[in-house]
Amino acid sequence: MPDAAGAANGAPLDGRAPAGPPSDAVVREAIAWWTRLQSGVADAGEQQSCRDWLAQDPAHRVAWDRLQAIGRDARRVPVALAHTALNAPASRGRRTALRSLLAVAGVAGTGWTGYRHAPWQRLVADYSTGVGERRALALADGLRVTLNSDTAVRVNVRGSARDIDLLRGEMLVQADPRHGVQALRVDTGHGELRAERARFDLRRTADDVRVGVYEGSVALLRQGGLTPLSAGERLAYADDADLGRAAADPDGLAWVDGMVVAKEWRLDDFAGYLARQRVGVIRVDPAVAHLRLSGVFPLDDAERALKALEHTLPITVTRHTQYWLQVGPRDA
Amino acid sequence: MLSSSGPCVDTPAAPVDGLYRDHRPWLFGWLRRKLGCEHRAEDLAQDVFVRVIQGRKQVRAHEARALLTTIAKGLVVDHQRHAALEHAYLAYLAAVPESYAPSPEAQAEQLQALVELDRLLDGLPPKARAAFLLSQLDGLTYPEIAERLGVSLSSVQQYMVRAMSACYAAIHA
Repeated sequence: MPDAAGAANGAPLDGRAPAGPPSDAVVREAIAWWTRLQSGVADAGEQQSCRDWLAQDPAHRVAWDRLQAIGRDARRVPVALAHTALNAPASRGRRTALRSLLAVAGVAGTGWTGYRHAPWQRLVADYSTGVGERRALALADGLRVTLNSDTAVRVNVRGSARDIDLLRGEMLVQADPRHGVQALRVDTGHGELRAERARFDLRRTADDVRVGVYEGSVALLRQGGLTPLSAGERLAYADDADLGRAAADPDGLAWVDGMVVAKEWRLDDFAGYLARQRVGVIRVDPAVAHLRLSGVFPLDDAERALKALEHTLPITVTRHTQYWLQVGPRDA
Repeated sequence: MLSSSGPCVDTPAAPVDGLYRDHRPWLFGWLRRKLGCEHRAEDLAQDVFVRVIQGRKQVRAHEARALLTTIAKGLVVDHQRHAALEHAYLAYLAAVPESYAPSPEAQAEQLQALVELDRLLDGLPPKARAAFLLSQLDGLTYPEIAERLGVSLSSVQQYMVRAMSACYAAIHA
């Protein structure tokens, strides 16, 4: 039951007077209804019951409207601002880092990146995200994934099976061992990953796969070989070759919170990263592609993120159509 | 927050002008050290006395220092918090392209909305605060929030009740 102690003022009131403040009891009930209907999973029956409750007494409506107004006012704060300023979501350590980095910095650069459409993989997927969308899923007890933009997975968690096919895109996986359940198996199209207990992210492109391990360990199985990866390691690989090893950087997971943390990135790489989060094309003039930049940027508005760089880099960002952003030298 | 609390008085008391004369110098010095800025210290010292005037007319002489310090501390905390929010807002604005930049009026409103939301959520446990923001601003469902925060669905429901109760109380209590 709601804990609304002290939530209403105690003025005596006749429940019929719509102008009077609702009683504590009514406010508690209203909050119980309101929070249930905000869940996103309330069924038609619950919605109807709530409407019935609202119709019972004008005071119910008054309390309800006050709650609605609170939600409305909260939404006047831009979401990216709220999360940085009011330190919302889970990952505390990194958030602090994000905040301290937030000032945006940069140096100079070049390149271009395009984008593609309507992936067939989404049609055969069990779960998918569109471009610019992110989604967290609990697939089974002890198995959670977060899908980044434009990602599709096929999932089999029937019985003791714990299989995921990453058809395209990028995901963060949190796997914890459970009794009587097989180790997680992830097919990436380039070999297979096995994990008992691990937190790792995985990105599949047309040519290769990158995996970064943040907790636990992961084993990579390819033709005739097994490559163990432990926490802190990152590997890019294709079918038969390791394309490069590096340290796994937790800042690379900022996308989970709708952010990107760039540290001395080339401008073309940065634009490419943003382009994966949006429909359309970002073209970076070769004359500036090599410029380096650092900072924390929102992922959901590429134009805004790039425009912010105009202050620190000698570049100009222009939008030709709704989908086409051009990044060029400032004086061109 | 502090305006109505604090020791005050019916008995032998210093009138506010005397209070001001006797205490303003050290108070100003104290605030300047805290804030590192003469102008802000000036403003806040003024605010402290305004609070005293708004609260009661008279303050017992031997309590004056403690009272003024208490009020000043509260104002400094408020001030620093407001400054932090303002800073966050400016950083946010810096990332908004000029063509999208809100008008000065809209900026003032957004900052005000941020300050107000901060006030409403003040004192809530981080997860309740996070749940409320993820629900109301990000539009996530409770199952998604549960997943994101690594808590059960019923915890999310409880966080939301708690957060909304706090908001309601902050506005209507």
